[in-house]
Amino acid sequence: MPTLTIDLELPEAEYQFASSLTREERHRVASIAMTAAFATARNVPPTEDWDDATPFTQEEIDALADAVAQEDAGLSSDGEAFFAKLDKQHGWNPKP
Amino acid sequence: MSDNPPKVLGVQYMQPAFADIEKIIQWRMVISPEIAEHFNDRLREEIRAIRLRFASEIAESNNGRISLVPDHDASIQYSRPIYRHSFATSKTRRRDSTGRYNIYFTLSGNTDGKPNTLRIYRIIHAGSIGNFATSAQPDEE
Repeated sequence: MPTLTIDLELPEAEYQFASSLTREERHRVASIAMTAAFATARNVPPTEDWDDATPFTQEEIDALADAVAQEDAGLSSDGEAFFAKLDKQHGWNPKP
Repeated sequence: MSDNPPKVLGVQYMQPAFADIEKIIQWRMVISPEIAEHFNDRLREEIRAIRLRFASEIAESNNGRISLVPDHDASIQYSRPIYRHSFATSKTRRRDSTGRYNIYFTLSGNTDGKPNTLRIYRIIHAGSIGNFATSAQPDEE
């Protein structure tokens, strides 16, 4: 999924920055990140005036959702092999 | 003809969830292998229970939603609605976070316009600071 990274000079500063935000500010950051992600998916430069960003069509939103789903599917599993390995590793009785 | 909603949700684990489970088991192993195994049993019981519970809630709802409200900070981090289900490894009721873990998940898939899969992102001790960057901070104003 396209994402916007807030790049600060010091890695420690990122946590300090996020911690210092109010709830409203955190919403604002999330909103900006989402707008930028959609703009990237559209292959257009994100506007600096976020409130005036053109609304996205349902097709665009669906296309991005599909891309996210495909990415997630590639990274996930049903856990069966993982738990079987865990049981074997520790000598635990296999669970359903 | 439309499909019937599933009686139990499918399950998918994201890689960070596996890393979380391994880390928790490793930590509990230091205390005792029984405590580690107990966590493994409770976690799997709990995941089975929520797969049933939310499948039932989704089946009964008109819009495919569940009774939980998305977790604010986790949802911001993943840019999608992420729910938090908390469970305890002990039957003793405690007011602190001892033995309490949070399962962060989203609902995905689609059967008849309703989600059919529980997708688990993270499993984190309830007392961990910095589960998500802003979780430990009080809401101002």
